[in-house]
Amino acid sequence: MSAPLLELDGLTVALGTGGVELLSGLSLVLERGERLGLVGESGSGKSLTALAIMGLLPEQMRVSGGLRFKGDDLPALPEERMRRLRGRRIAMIFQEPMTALNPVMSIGAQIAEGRRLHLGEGRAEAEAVARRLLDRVGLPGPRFDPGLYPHQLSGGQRQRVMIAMAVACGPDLLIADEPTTALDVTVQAQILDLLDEIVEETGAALLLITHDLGVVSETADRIAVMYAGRILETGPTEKVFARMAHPYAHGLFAASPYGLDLRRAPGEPRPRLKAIPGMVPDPARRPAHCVFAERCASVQADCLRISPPLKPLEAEGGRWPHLVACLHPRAGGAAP
Amino acid sequence: MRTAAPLLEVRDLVREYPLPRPSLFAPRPVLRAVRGVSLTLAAGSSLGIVGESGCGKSTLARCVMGLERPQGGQVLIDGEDIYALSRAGLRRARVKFQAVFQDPYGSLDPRHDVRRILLEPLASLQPETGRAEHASRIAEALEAVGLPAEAAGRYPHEFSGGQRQRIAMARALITRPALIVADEPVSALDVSIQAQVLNLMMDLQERLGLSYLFISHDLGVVRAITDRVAVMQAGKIVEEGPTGEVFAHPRHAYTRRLIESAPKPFSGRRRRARAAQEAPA
Repeated sequence: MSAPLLELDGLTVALGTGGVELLSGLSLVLERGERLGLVGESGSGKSLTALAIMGLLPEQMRVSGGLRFKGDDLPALPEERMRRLRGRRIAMIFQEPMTALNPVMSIGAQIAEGRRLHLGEGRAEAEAVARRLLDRVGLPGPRFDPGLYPHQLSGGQRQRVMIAMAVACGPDLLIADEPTTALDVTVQAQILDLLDEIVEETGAALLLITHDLGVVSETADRIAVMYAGRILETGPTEKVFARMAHPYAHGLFAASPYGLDLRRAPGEPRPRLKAIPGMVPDPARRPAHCVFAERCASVQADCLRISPPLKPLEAEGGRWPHLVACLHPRAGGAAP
Repeated sequence: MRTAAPLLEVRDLVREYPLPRPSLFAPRPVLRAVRGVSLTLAAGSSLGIVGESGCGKSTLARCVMGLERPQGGQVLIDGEDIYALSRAGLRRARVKFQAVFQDPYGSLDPRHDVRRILLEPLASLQPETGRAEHASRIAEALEAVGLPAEAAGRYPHEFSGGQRQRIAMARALITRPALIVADEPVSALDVSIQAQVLNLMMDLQERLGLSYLFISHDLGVVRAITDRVAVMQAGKIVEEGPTGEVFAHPRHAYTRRLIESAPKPFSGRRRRARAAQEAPA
């Protein structure tokens, strides 16, 4: 059996040597053609995970544990080899298409840049490909000339350009960090569809980072729920949504307006959202026991003693088992 | 039972912005941000305005707050046209309506402590209030939003995003207003914190009989907190009605498209919009 495309095996990222852990022991495997959604709130470490994979962590952060791409240990790769992977094998789509695009370079040149650098194509050749990619992402000529600049495009159109740039060299892994968060819902729907089609056509793996449960539910085959630098629950999307075994996974859903049952008798007060009390713990003050214990409604004495590892919920998990890091997983049901 | 006059009434509001001339002698094109909007908000209830960026919802909110003089139409608060008032009259009327904005980082002055932030509306709108009254009003406002009394001596940077939105809410409440215009008040917050702030807004509404004009692009949030909802598109209201009714049986095609586009958990993997049906946005 060949090495998996992307393998995180106890990936830990700390600030300074022996310092504060920002990511603690993440493990996951991603193969070509798969769509994995990483969900969590701000500070959960989901974007940091993406940066670690891209080798773009700030200097003072230390990586330990396994982080392998096609069997290569990424943190050990010299920058020169990492640079050949970035944009070629691993590509990233960022949230802010305005800041991620170069404002003084035409969109055609930006899309072609990767092919010229990585594949050694000439200008004419690369720009012909850029034209085809623009057509593919829904920006047809002559209206959308490769000579246009980012400021001449709307937010959704810029995000289409970002997608064209990301897939220009046919990467094996596409990381999309909140790709639609800055967009309106109708545009978001179009962009998510486009991403979906591109992944289907190219067979690349998709790592989708989002805070939106609706977006992962509709886009990812598997999800991993992150909180305070850890994965608390992971598995096939339908299984995770059907059970929400971790109180945090369930709490996240119950707190969202999706979780709200609006039925009420006339004169009755408006139903409240099920807010999770408290705040995400500061990375420097994360407890040694379960990181969610302080905010958990069903906390028990043993939760304050140990930090539960991810464990399968069923004996026979199949290829993608449903795992949860909780001593007292919920029996099931999204209903509160 | 209906009261005679609604707390807020907007009649045929028009707000346009002249754009730069494309060439020297060309006429100035006009951006028609709000094109004849009418709506009413009964005391003690909440009205949501939903729509996508550029639909004019924030311009509408700014007109209601007295921050943008409209070119046409009226904004009546308690039956009084705020744009027909003198400066002093508007200042007096402002006690009745306050605002909460989206950005909990940008909307609080980082150099002022919470006490000074909360005092500002009182000092400028109700200068007759004395020191003793100030102290009691600050305590009352902080208590209402669930912040400790010591918070008064701290600075915005010492608070999280959710707590800052509580401070913004306390600042709005300090003049004891009847109407709060909230422009995307929870959009910058994480889901679990967003729920805390929305619940607080519901509690305050029930306790104090507040009315909300609640502007948001987030259909889920609007569905949770409003009694009625108006859907705006290109400067006009295309559909308005009781929130439950509009979400369950949207009549206008645009409302339907908004609701269908919004991703939902449990829907499973699906294609949302067919690119063939719509022009690339």
